[in-house]
Amino acid sequence: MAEIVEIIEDEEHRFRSPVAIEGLPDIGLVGTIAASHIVEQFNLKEIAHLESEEFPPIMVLHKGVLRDPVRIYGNENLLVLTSEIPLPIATIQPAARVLSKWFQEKGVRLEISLSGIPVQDRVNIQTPKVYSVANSSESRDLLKKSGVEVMEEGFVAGIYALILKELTKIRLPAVALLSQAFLKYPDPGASASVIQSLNKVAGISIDVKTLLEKGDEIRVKARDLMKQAQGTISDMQKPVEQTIPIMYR
Amino acid sequence: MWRSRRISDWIDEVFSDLDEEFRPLWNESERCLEPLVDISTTEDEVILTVDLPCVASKEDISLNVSEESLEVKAIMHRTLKWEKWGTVQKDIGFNSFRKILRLPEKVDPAKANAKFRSGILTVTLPRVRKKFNVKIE
Repeated sequence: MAEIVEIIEDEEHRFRSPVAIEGLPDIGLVGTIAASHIVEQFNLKEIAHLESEEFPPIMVLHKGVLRDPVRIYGNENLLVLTSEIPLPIATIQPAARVLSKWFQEKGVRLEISLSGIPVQDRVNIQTPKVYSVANSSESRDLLKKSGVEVMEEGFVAGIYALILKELTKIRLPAVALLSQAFLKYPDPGASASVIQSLNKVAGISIDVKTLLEKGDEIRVKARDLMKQAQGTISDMQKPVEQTIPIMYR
Repeated sequence: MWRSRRISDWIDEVFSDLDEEFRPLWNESERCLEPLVDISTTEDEVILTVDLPCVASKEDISLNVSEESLEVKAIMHRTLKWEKWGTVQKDIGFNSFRKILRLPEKVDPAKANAKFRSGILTVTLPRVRKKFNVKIE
């Protein structure tokens, strides 16, 4: 059965067992801000985009060039998925399936989702803490070796939860790095924390100094996307992440 | 009469919500941006937070509260510029925030309390609630 979401590659690319990073609009836009920073730091080029009849009829103009809003950037070693629109709830499940299959075809060795978990007293937290979720014992060991705290109990919600699920089915190691964040405000500080954990997990080195320096400006310029994402966050049952699961195992 | 007034109230509310949903978060002529706001209600209080990045201190913020509304204005410590801004396609800069909010409950403005930390303004407003002690027979 054809999926309602497709990945369109502009041309054939070769990869060397890349790490795939997902940073779609979500809590505090943590993943989106982090993904944009990574794209900028590594000067990554657009290599593919996602299309769906269920996406809103929106294209983006950058320097006069018409672009699809949901894009994948990359080089031989790194793939970064980001978006300038929140993904409609109807496309979350098919997007997770399509992306997982595509990651497998491209020989991805590890998928890392970047997102946030809302905390009520975020305003009093100087450096947000990062928690992580693994989809296998292999990726759990990687997180423990990297010194990132692994969540043992709780709910996870949103596209990263479904990507973890789909990649489990095909035995592709995946993790989610979740920073304490504002629920409804863009949070570059949380994005910086999540990148610092990403550095440890993926063995890369991304400087967050400029991200923190431009934090206020990013907060202002990301307000519109944050406002749009608030509806999706509610649709994705994100508040359930703040609840405690029943103890059946 | 009662019925028609209720329907008109409902229509006003729907259009007000639509306006809130689709209104741009900026005003070109006033060089003013609308901040993101979150409102929550507890049993005794209405709590508002307002995201005010680029605002340096509490002295740059003015806050006016009535029983049913709140107006916040803030001056940014620098002008934020965009090139070829959206629908006007010209360079544009903004240097302030302004937002008027209708509160979900009546509050006591004299007892309002506000804090500004890490670019977030938190306003706590006690709800006006009349309580009557009911005698149990």
